[in-house]
Amino acid sequence: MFPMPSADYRMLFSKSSTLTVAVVVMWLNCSIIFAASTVSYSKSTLGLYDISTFDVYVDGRIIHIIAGGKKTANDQQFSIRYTRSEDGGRHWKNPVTLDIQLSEVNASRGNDIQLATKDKRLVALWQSQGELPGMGPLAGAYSLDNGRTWQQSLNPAGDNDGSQAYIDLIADLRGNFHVVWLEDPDENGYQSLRYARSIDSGQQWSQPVTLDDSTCSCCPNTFALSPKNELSVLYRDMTPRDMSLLQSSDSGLTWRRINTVGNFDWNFKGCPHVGGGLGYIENDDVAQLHSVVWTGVEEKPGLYYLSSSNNGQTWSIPARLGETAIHGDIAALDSRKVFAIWNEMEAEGLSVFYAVSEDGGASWLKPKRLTEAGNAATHPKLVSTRQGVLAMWTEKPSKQPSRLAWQIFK
Amino acid sequence: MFTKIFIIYFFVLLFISIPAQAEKVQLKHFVPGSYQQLLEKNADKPFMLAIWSTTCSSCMEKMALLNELKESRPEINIVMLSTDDVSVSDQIQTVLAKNELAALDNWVFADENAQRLRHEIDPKWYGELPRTYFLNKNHERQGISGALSQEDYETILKVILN
Repeated sequence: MFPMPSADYRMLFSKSSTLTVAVVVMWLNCSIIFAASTVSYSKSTLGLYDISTFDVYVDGRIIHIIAGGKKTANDQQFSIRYTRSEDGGRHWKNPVTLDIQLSEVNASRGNDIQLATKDKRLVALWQSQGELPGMGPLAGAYSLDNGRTWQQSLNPAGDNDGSQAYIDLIADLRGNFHVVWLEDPDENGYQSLRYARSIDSGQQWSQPVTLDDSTCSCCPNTFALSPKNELSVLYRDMTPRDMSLLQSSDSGLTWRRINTVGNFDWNFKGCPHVGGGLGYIENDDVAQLHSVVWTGVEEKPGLYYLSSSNNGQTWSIPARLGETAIHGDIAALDSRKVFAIWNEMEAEGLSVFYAVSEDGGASWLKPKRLTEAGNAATHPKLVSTRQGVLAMWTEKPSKQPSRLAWQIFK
Repeated sequence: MFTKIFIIYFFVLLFISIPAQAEKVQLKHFVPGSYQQLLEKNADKPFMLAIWSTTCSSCMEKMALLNELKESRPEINIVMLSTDDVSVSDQIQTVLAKNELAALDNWVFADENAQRLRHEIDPKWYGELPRTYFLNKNHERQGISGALSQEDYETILKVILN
């Protein structure tokens, strides 16, 4: 079970109430046997009033969290805080408030603030609020001292009058930082997948380039880094609205389209607001790529798991996860044990379910509930750590502020 | 698809030109029980429920078409439902006023748990937008995700009105 947080931060990180996830009633020789199992998880607002956006990132043995929300119930000012764990998520450092001047922040769940780290260097990016609803330029900050102090960074898109959203950020093995986002820089009527990189920890960014000039306009993008330092980007294409995979093997200098991840041939003109999950695990010098993708195709909408043993060239037959699953993520503990997590749509709200594969994704055990629907948990994320797989999400029980919640699976 | 210029132009026009009209749009709060209320209010009548959001570019592009539909087919009862947060009601009202949709039955999601509202409308709806439901007089319905064309509307309405 998840240990209690350190005494220093007990006010910030508390254990959740117990959640009964299964009650089995068996009739046996006229007697009733109850067998109940429980799942408990931790939760926090990092000392803020609420949490409306977050990201979690693993670099070596360190787990990093960046999150934003209001300081107080009546406060309109947004605050961003950073914290880290050096023991697999058991204890967390006292959160640091990013002491930079913040313009109005537009980040929210599904269009979240993003964080990437390499050693002592950290970069965070988010969408700020422009003049029009839901639109605004990228903004960001970087730290060169383990997140103790932060400086304002330049907009990688280079256009503070434009609108850039659905950011993802990653650091490669050499310490270069890479960012993708959606933008319509040429005002051609389509959102493009745009990319830039920084070789100085987010202080300056390369000239942005377009990786795909027509994409879905409102779906999150996902980076993954292979053990051989190859960059992969999973994003939702325009036509059809399936998820596509791009890769670069030269640290972002050149890119090539690899394949579609799940050929659902979903033709849709609208806003799904759903991306996918992507993660590598290496075994005997062979990198296995795991993915979850969502499709709204009429005959079989839902969340699907796929894997590739040839770096995305070909993919397994999509395996459906959950009943009415959405907002999925994926992470592998080792070459055999793979975890998938998602939201399940229920009458009382969104709940979080997860499933485990013990054979590298070939088959999946029965999904388990992590949260009650009434907690309105959303957009769960998974990251692999040295101590296990960390699941993290936000939840907002009725009439309570939204908060971070997490659980570690071994 | 229209461009970012279109969207900016659209909103700039909204904000500078019609504040007075915006005040006239009655925006009802869609809460648990509201969908049933809609069905009861429209008992024995066909109607169309158009679900949209200010952050959905495809929805915004089709506002003009909805206005045309309202004008050309006044016999169609169109109900508009915005899934935006109720806190941006001013923007929603402005969009509706600009597109001359203020006279329609206009609603906005007004519950902290949006999934509860979505589920009440349709347990199988994942939240993608735009989403349009066409209900005949017996309230047998067809739900369609994505932007619809004039021809789409005409084809479907012909069916539900018969």
